[in-house]
Amino acid sequence: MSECIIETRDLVKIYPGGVKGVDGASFCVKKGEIFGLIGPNGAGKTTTLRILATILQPTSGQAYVAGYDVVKQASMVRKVISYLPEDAGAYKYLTGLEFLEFIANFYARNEDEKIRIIREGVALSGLGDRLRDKIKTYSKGMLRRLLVAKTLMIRPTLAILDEPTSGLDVVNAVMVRDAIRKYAYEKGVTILLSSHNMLEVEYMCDRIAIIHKGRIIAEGSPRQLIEEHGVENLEEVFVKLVGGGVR
Amino acid sequence: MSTFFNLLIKELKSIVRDPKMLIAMFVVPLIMIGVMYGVMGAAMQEQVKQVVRESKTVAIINLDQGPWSQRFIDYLGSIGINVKLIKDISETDISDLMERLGVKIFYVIPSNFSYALTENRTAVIEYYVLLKSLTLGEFGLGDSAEELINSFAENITKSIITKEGVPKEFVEHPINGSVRAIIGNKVFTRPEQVFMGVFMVSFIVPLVTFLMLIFIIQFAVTSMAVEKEEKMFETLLTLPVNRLTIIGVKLLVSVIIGIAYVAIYGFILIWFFIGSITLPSETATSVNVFDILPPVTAYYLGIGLIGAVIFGLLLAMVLSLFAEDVRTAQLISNYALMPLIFMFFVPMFIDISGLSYTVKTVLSLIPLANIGFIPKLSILGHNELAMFAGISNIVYAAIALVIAYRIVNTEKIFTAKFFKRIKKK
Repeated sequence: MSECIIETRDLVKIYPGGVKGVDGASFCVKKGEIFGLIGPNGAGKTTTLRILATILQPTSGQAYVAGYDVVKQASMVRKVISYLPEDAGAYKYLTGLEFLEFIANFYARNEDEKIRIIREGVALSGLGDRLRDKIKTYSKGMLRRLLVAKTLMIRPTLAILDEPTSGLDVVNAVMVRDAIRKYAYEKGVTILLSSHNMLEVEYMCDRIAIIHKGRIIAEGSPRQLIEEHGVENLEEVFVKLVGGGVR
Repeated sequence: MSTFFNLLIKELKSIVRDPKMLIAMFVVPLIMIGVMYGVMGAAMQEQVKQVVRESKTVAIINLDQGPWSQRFIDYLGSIGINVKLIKDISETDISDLMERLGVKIFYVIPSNFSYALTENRTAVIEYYVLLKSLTLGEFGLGDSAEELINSFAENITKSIITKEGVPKEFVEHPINGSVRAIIGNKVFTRPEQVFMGVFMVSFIVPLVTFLMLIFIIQFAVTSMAVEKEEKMFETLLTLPVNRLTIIGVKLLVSVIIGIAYVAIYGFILIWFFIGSITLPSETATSVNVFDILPPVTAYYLGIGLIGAVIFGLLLAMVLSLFAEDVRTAQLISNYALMPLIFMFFVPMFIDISGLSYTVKTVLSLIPLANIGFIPKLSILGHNELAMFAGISNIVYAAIALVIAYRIVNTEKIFTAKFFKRIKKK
């Protein structure tokens, strides 16, 4: 367990009404790596991320983040993670800078650290002077860049990003991907992200897990999985494994 | 900066900068209430002026032509009334005549007027009031016309009793009433003060508390709904901050705004009433209301109010977690508060003394609304029910605390949706 920043064991989440969100998922994310959780819609990606982010509680099984139990030590887990939900927003009547400061205040132990965190956020967002404008004036791409910046700038032990480039145009998606990759490698931040964009995952992730119907059906580096299944790319691996069973 | 102040500053910034919030919560109600009170006050003053102005000129047809009718006409002239004497009525429509004369009060002194008074018999003066605009002031014209007759009658009375040597005080008040009010086993000599005191304790204080709680609940629920609409709620739940702090800040802001709101509207209300209505000085309460009510009432009411405030805040917390957006927030708060508002006003309009003990017990256990019942139950001698009412709010607060704690510290804080099933259909 010491090697894994995230470790899940037979993680099960059954929603009221009997719907299974996750059905025995087990995987490990190692320190400093970018780990992708990929799967079709409804496969259990977001549910898994929400359990690790302490928003949902598993029905059974265990999940640990940096050695902390996500149920019993949820408050400790929240100190070491930074989470970006898929459809996250921000306070539209704050400026971008005020929003970064608002987030920084939760993590900074002193004024110097706060300034350092905000500076990193400013650089990560790439929004320049627009950070002085109210968030309600931002485009979707600008908002997502701001949110990625607020997630990473605090240098969390683990950043959890749910579909970080969802709904973005090509230019903004590339900017976001590059920012995540660069920051993760430079600062040694472990990243768990979900996506159903195979090219994105292949480009960004050190290792991936394919989740289908709440179960991890394959795990390894993109290259390793491509070779194992004798196909050209990750998309073909995905289709081969999931096939017509997409729900 | 502490997480508490960080959240507090964010809340205040969002409220101050959100024009919808400012307009909907403060500007519009302030303007509406201000304009409403202003218009009502100005209208009432204008109506009073209208009555005074229009009763300054009257028309009289004197069919009597005797000494007493002439004295009436002279009397009106002596107090500044402009009298237009009509010799005879050739027009069949009296309203046309009054229109033509520019008067709204028309007296007809009958032919036997002086004879009746000379014979010590009650005389009659008929009068007509022309109603055209049908305003509030115009409805006062009748009183004004009657007042002139009464004033003359009093003048005659004084003359007669002076002439006959009878004491004026005896004629004016041959019998005086001496009123006592009994509440419980106490007797009070100034019922109007007793009424004002009881009214303050049994209605105004609970009403102000109740209105403030309603506002706080609505504001807190809406505030949390805005958090969800802005899609920050999920992120907030993963920040290193106690979830109760997040909600606590929202409640604190709601309480601050609620107090300000009640203070502002209370000030406007008082300003309006002081400006529009001059109460006789003797109606001003100078009695200690807790001398009037049974001594334990203060304790029960105090417990009830404290319990109601805590319960109201916790109810706001729980309800806020079920609100998905501002629309559902309004629906939830309306569904929860409407029955309570209705129940709160029940004791104002029904005589609970005639209700059975079981019904009184049920009324005393209605959360929040029961603060309006406590003084009445205590006055009626049901101190045990007043105590139940007070303590029940503390019990409800404790139950709400357990529910709130269970919701806040589990995934229900994220998954609770009041209208989920309705939506799926």
